[in-house]
Order: sequence, then structure tokens, then C-alpha cells
Amino acid sequence: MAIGLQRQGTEPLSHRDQPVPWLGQRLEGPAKPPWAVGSAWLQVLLPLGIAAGLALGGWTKVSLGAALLTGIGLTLRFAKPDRYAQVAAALQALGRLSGRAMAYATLIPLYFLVITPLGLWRRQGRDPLHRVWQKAAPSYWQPHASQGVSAPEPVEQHRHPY
Amino acid sequence: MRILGISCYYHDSAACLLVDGVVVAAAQEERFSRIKADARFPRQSLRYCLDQAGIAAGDTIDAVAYYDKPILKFHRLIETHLAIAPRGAARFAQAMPSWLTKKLWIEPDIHSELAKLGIRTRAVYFCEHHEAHAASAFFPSPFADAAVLTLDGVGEWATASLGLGRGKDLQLLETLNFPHSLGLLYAAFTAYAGFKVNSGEYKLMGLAPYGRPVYCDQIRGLMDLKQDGSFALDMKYFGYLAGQQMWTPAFAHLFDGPPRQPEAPLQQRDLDLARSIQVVTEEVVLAMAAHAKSLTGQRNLCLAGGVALNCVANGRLLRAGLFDNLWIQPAAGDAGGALGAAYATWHTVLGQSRHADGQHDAMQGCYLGPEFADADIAAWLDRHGFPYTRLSPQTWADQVAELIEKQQVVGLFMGRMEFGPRALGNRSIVGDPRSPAMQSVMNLKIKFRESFRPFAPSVLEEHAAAYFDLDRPSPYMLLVADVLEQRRTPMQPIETYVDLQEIANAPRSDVPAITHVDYSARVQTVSKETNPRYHELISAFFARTGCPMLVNTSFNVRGEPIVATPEQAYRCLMRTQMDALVLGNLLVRRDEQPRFLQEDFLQGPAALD
Repeated sequence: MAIGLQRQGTEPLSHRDQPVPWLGQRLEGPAKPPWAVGSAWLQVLLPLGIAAGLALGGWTKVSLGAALLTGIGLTLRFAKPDRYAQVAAALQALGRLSGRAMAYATLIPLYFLVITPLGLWRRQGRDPLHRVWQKAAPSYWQPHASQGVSAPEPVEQHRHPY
Repeated sequence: MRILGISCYYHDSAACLLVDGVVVAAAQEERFSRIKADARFPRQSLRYCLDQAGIAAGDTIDAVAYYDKPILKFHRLIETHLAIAPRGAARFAQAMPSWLTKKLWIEPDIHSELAKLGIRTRAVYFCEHHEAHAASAFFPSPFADAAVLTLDGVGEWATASLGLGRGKDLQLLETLNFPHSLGLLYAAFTAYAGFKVNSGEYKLMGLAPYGRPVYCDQIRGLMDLKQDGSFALDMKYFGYLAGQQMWTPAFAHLFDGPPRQPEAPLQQRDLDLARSIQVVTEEVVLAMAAHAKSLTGQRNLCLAGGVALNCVANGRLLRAGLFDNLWIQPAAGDAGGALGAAYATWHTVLGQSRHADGQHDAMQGCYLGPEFADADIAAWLDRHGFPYTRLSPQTWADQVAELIEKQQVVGLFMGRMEFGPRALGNRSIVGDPRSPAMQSVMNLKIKFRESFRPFAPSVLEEHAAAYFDLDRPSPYMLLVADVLEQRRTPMQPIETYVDLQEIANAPRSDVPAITHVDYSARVQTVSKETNPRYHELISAFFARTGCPMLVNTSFNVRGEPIVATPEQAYRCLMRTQMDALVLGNLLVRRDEQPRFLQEDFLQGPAALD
């Protein structure tokens, strides 16, 4: 919500407003200029490298296209960082969308070709999730597997993500 | 020794810091990011925790504790899909990318995030989800020994656990495992009533007293409930194994038709379902607690997990008298898991001793978040030309109490922010509980939320017994108690009212704004020891009016997290019809602010929650 209030003699109140620091907060210095950010140069040099590779491989027109895009990106990155951020956000959103589409395209066949047959085979005559009610059993409580965090080797137990 | 606790990637991510076993900072990420129940890595709350302890770039933390075991959770995900395939393909495709790229790589992620801040850690430890909840319930509790009960949706496999805490040792004894879950059962009804899972549970609980328990038998039929409180659900009624919906068509058929759509008018069936699931939930919690008692023989009980935020069930558990003492982790949901993981590392992994005096817990009133200096706030107000008055430390409480007595609604932003879902006076909106209209005014004009939702009282601890059937402190607003008979005003039968709004407006006691339709109240007792400033304000109101309490609701509007900074508090003041805002020792009155600011801030409807 960019309020963008303007009043003579006061600063606009927006999300870019310098926030009130909490007690003890270590304040960051002013933002680095775009040319001082290492990743910015990587973003420039990588497509330039690709363009050079394409040129060496004889793909001159494609290489020129890549170089042109790099030039536009370079200009935006250093001259209009705000606009560049918008373009980058849009590209990221597009990347997420295509990533999701690719995930569905890959994982759904995997699900039906691998998980489903394996699952059908594994649950022959078994109830792996214990969905069937045990009417005769006195309780559904299970003894805790590791018998708690105070087991003999708690440090080892806690070092693993399993 | 410094231990950082982290919970993230599911909901309510949070960070906390323990220094030599004392919690020095804890905060939920949503407060900084402004995304409700933010599940992302708690980058900003982590930064706050480090700042609070003076940890800077180049420093090394002794340990980082994560609140669950991701590979066990992944195992449960795979086992579930193997058990239900070919159903569940879409859910599998949706869940898997985040697992493969993020949730399985917690340790490198933690190292990488800390490295960005120039911090290193000696070790990363992982705690089982319910162990983290149990540790958050027992280790900071006042008890040397206690039974521990944790209940939530699901962790790795466990959905509930029973444990025993003795000194610095905590042992989980039994668990109830997925898919049989009290939290997910309640969540299914929350979703069915048209509310959001993981945030609408409070609404369902608040709605319950308006309904009749006519669906209890059908709900009991959904489960095979044993005497010891353990149960199995009939999974043909629940869709959460395979799909995005919590319920199945069989569930809808059983409960007389399709679910309520979000924001649709509430029907009698919705109210009755809310009441019925609340009754059954209480039955299960009571049976589990009785089993915990017989298993451990303890006189004290500690509770945690999302279901432990059901303060109505907590109140019933207390009144049942199964245990002499009850302590509930105020951040009982997943945010508190960060704290539990850190405590488990300190006491269990590192073997450090623990001291409990039987009286005081280690939560410091839950005031563990950031605070702001008056000088910095004043500089910010000056920079923008926003008018304010400086309050004198001697008279501030009386000045603010006078505003409240004049039926004004006041935002309180003072001291350290609370950790957990409750606002306990430092990030609160307060009003006069004697006003019959206050509940409607605060719901509709300040919070922009449903008119039926009740408000809680903050009552001076020494006067609580004069109003409520409560024989002990309830500092974290986690116990529901009845308003005393002599304070009540008889109501007509609920069926005779036209709608919920009319019921909400009907006077029910001499403190109607905080009395729910069943004459209950979600009580916060305020002590001078824990929050002297808030105690001073309520005392000033008491001196003026003879009423030792205030209406207290969290400082936010619907769909937004509780405010964390002075700017957010100011925005909230200007967006709502709140009358004044106390920012530390500064008073900002809404009617003194420039008119054009008031118009510009009043924009757009509140987000749905």
C-alpha cells in the first residue's frame, strides 16, 4: 500500500519511509549503487558470455539478439533500477509459472507411472496408514518411537533431520 | 551460550533466541513481513533476535535448533501418497517442488541465511515437531514435574502426544498418529463453516455458544473414540489425504448439505455445527488429559500445540479438576515450536539444568518482541508533521483512562511486542467494557470483522475473582471463565433474536462488551509484576469508574497481523475509527490529524481472514 501522501513541509508517508528503528537495531548503511553490487555484474556478464558463445558457434543473429537484450537489461539495471526491479519481478513471476507448469508436466506422469503402481503393490492386504478401525483394541495411542528426547543418545538424535 | 530457535515453511514462522537458557527475544515473521501466518524463512525476526542480543556480523552462535524433522515429514508425505494413489496426483505435483528445492534442505538453508548476516553457527539440531511443542510447554512452565499433552494438526507423524517432564528431562511416552488428528478434525469443520483453516478456528470457537449441540452424535460417529481419548477417524468423510478440501461429499451429506461459502450469511446449521464440534473436542481433550493423569500420576499439566489455543476447552479442563495446575504455552501454535526446539537443545542436548519455582514461568509475560524509543517515535512524527501530545509519566494513565471512560477506543503501542497470537496490552486496542455498544463498535468500525466475535477482558489480577469464576491467574488469555451469576443480566432465549448482531448487542452483564452469549469470557489477568504499565492504566480506569478491567483486542484490522512498528500503528489508527493512539509516552489523537490524511487512509475494504 503506497499511500504517497504529500504535504508541504512534510515527507510523503509510504513504504519507502525510513522506518523507526527498534531498540538495539543495527541500522544498515545507505543502499549500494547498482554498479557496486556483484550480482548485477553477473547478471550482465552471463548473457554476454552466452551471446559470445553463440557468435563463436556461428549463430550470429541469435547472438546479436542476446547482445541487444543484454544491452537493454544493462541500461535498465544501472540507469533505471526501479524499472529494472519491475521487469525482474515480472520475469520471476513468469519463471515461477513456467516452473509450476513443468513440475506438473513432470510429476503427474511420475505419479501415475511410478507412485501409483508401487502404492497399489505395497498395500495389497495391508493398511499402511492404519485407516481401518481397531474396534477390539483398547487404545490408539502408540508408544513414542524414540521414547522421548531424553533417550540415551539425545545429541545424536538431534543432529539428524530424521 | 546462545541458541537460536527457528520454525518455518508451514505456517507461523518464527525465530527466538535463548542466551544461557533465558529467552531474550522471540517474534513471528508475520509481524515484520505483514503477511498473515507468513511461512517463509523468518529472516526479519531472526535479524531482530540477533539485534536484541547484540550479535553482529563476525559472531558465532553456539547452536541453531529447528522445530521438526523434515525427512520424517517427507516420509509421511510419500507414505500417504503410496497409500492413496492414484488419487492425490495434483496435490503431489503441487507439494513436491517446494519439498525438493527447499523443505528438505533446512541445514544448508540455515547456514546460508546466517552467512548473509555474517553469522556462523557451530551446530544445527533438529527436534521432532511434538517434542518441540512439548518442550515449549514444559521447560518454560513453573513446574518442576508435570504431565505434558500436545495436540495439533500434524507434525511428522504425530498429531498428539503425551509426555512426562521431570526437572531438565522430558520424555514423550505415547503419540497418536496421522491421519487421526483432533486438529485436522476441527480444521475440517472450520473449512466447512466457510472459514480459513489455520486462522478461522478462533471464529468457529467464538460462534459455538450461539448454536445447539445437535450434531454431536453424528460427529462422534466420525470417530472410534476410546476411553483414553485416543481415536481413529473414519477417513471416508475427510479429504485431506488426497485433495485440497478437508471434507468429502459424504461429510456434506452427513451434515445436511454443502458447506457455507466464505462471507455468506451464517445459518442455524453453521452455529449448531460450531457448537457440536466444540463439545466433542472438549470431550476428547478431557479424556486425553485423564489418560495423561493416569499414565504419569502428575498433579500438573502442560499444554501446547494449536489445539491448546482453544481456550474454551482449556477452561473446561481446568474446571474438571483433573489436575491441580495447568500451564499452557502462550505461543502454543507452530511459532512456539521455535522456542520449544531451542529449549530442548539447551536442556536435553546440552544437558543444562533447569530451575522451576512452582510459581513463575519463564515467558516474561510473553513480552519478547521489539520495542521502540519515544525519541525515535517523536522524530518520526515530527518528520511527517503529525500532531501529538507528550504524556507525563505521572499522569499518562489517568489521561488515557479518561478517554476510555468517555467511550473512546484507544490503541496501545508500548513496551515490547507480545510473542504468540494474543495481544496482552502492549499491542492492543482497548475500550470500556461497561458499554453495551462497544462490542459492535469495535467489531464493525475498528476491526472490520464479524459482529458475533467476542472480546476479551484485561482485568486487574487482584480483582478478577470479583467478576469471574476463576481462582487463579490467566495472564495469557488462554482460559475461559464464566462471569459471576450476580453480574449477569438475564437474556431472552437465543432463538427469539432476529440475528447475531441483535444477540451481540443484547446486554448480558454489567460488563457486556466482554461477556459472551453463554456468559463466558476469555480472561486476561494483569499483574503489576508482569506488565506494570498496563496495570497502571487499568488501575486508573478502575479509580475513575469502579470497573477494574478494559476490553482488550489485538491491535490490527481484519486480515492483517498485529502491528509491530509505530508506523503500522499510526496507519491502523488512521484507517479505522479508533480515537487515539498511545505510542510509548506520546498520545496521537485521530481528530487532531490533518483531515486529508484521514480521508486518504480510509481506503479499500479489509482483507478477508
